Amino acid sequence: MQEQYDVLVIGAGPAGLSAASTAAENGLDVILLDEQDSPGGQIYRSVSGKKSYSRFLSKEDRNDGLNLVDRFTKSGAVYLPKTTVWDVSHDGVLCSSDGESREIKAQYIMVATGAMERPVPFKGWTTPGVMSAGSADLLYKSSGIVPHGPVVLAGNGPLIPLVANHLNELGVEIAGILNTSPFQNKPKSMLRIPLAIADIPFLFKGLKMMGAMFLGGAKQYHNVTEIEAKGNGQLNQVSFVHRGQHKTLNAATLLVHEGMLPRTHITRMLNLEHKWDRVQRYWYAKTDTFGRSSNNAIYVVGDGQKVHGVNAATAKGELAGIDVARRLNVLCESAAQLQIAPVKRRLYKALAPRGFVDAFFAPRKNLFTMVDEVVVCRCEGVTAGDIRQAIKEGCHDVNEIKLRTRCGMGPCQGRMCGSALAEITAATLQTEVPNVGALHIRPPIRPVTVRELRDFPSAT
Amino acid sequence: MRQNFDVLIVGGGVTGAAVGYGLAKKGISVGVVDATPSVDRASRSNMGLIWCQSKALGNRNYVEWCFSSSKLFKSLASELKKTSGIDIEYTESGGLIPCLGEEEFTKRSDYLDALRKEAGEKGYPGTMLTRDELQAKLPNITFGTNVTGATWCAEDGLVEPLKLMFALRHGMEHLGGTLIPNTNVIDIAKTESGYLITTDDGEIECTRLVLAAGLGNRQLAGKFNVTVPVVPNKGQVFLTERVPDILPSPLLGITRTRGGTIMIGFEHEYVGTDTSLHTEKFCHVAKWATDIWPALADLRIIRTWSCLRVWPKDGFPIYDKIPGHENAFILNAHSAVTLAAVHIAELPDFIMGKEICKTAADFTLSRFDEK
Repeated sequence: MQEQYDVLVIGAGPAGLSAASTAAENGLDVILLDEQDSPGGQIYRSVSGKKSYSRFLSKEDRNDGLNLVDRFTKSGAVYLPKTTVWDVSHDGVLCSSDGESREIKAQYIMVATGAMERPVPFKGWTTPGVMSAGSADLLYKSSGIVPHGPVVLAGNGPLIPLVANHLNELGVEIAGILNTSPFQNKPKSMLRIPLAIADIPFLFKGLKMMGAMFLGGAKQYHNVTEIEAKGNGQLNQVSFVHRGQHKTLNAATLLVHEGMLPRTHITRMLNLEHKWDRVQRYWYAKTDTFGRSSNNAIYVVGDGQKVHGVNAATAKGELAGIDVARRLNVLCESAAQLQIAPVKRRLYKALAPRGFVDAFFAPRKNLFTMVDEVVVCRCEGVTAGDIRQAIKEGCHDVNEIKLRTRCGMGPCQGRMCGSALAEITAATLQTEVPNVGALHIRPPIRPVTVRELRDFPSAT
Repeated sequence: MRQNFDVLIVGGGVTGAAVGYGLAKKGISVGVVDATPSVDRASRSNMGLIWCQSKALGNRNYVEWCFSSSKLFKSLASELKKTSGIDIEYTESGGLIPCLGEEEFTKRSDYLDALRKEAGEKGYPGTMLTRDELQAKLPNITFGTNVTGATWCAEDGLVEPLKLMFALRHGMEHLGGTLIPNTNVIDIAKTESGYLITTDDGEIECTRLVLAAGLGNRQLAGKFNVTVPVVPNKGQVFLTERVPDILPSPLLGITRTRGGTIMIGFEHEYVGTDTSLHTEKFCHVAKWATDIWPALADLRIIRTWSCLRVWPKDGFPIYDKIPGHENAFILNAHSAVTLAAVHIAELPDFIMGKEICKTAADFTLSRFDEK
């Protein structure tokens, strides 16, 4: 039997949950698919579970998360956890749960797959003991696995103080915090402060976080460059340049973070129109306020569209939910407008400080100027030098470089190396990233077994 | 500045690059202009089989043309390593076509017999293997219960097709040819001494012009009011995670790459230029593949892709002058990888004004008029 819904939502984070809830509350048949075993996404991972995660959230944040999940549970939307979507088209998805794949059809698809950390290759980044700050954060949130100290935190972005504070709470020794944010970000971002004042509690929260990090006592190094992870088979040292001097810290774990990017694998696979954000240096699917993409049947909502944080994501999801109800004629225009107005106000309030935050945490200019021997593509072992050589040979498009070097050809399909590949190419050709193309993404976006394909319940 | 070449080839895929390489080897001033790459082009998405056996009954010339190319590959591979620095990963693997059920075995066997009969005293290198013989050849594979045997031909082989394309391009450049990448041809005009090609990045002059742009030849030949009878023929392939080296010879439709991944696919569809992927098409391919080799079921698929083969309407290559033009040529071939070696050896002289060799003399454009 074919499964058919009005709306299919991919991802159970703030945007997906509120989109699904809103659409279902308005009387639509909605299904939400998510890879995790409980709703919440990354920020509210395991929020409704018994696990100890919740202690890392403030009381207000925990309540926000629980309310989102509670609302979703009552909305009547169908929830399909532990399900991996591996192909998406304009009228449905192919997904896998418990080793079986099936097709689920829908009139509208909402991609709410959230953001990921920008992977930035550097010397030694493949050494065991090096991981991204965000994934370390998710590990202790969901499984209680705590990183081995001493820990060095390195990078740029609001996640650094957050993780530093969590590590302090967990009693993990922090050997140092290496801030890679360039000084020139500060004056640029100050220009954006007037607008940001619209959300004073948000700014206050940020200041509190930075203050707590300072009080945590870990030594902070600013404007750090040339970070290198050292260790044979296991990390034992982190070296870097600070104020023109080479320095070294002993460390068992190096947590790096260079900002967040929307996950664009699904939106690229769907060939949606994308735009380039010059400040935060990432691609995002172009949408209107309601999340409608360049494909009539596809919505892209939340941080998977543009990284604006949890409050904006929740509002964006709601707007998409209202819009789809309006388009499917279960909600008349005047009733829709009544629902839309307060959500839009919330959205604009949440967006107000983003100009400041984006400029303050803008990725530094020399982020991708790594030396030739640095491995960029971990799946295929392709170095920055290999990429530069292919460019010299006349490959000027990232897809052509991929064919020449195998960079991005592995199982992750360029999730880890795509940004670096494009940035290195653009820098070598002295042009902008939008001029060097974007990697073609093809199904399956997550590996699926030959058996699942063989046993696929085909229409024939 | 206007560039000038004796020969300009439009199309830098395997066919265009092979002919460019062959011309550069002869010291001829040659340029190859290649459009902004789109990845579903045939040269960028094929399996890299050098495949001669069990095909083209009734066209003995084509059969010989393929086998003659296959024989040249070993020396081509070592030559390209020197001229381009790239190892095209050529393997004298031979090739197998697995048979499911008695009926398919008999059909394959009869087809080989007919090819052998047609070959006469020259002989035909393909043979049938029983299930036991197949098992002996590939001892590390446990075949499905319905596998009855396979055809075998030692002269089939395998290359890394992307490396072949890049090796031909770089080899050509090292031998003095010029690659003009990321450049789209907009117009072609006849001049007194040759042709003037307008691109989105300036003009190029040449004495001789070769259209080797695959399906793009249909548009380019339109500039000469010539219809090229090639159609897109869609194939879909899926690629699994890496496995150890247990498949030294490809089973037609199931090929292990040097890197260890397995490519599976054999579909032929005539659906215009639609390259969208259709999972339902993969289902029966997955069923077929696991019927032959059940252990494949446990492997994870890491990627699928589709591409458009360049398919001359009767399946055979086209090497001809554009009607009314002594120095403008059309080249189109479906088996560009298999034929690359013989293209390097034979087509440059043809472009430079000599008669094409007898084996390839029938691959004209005019053969399509007669029908």
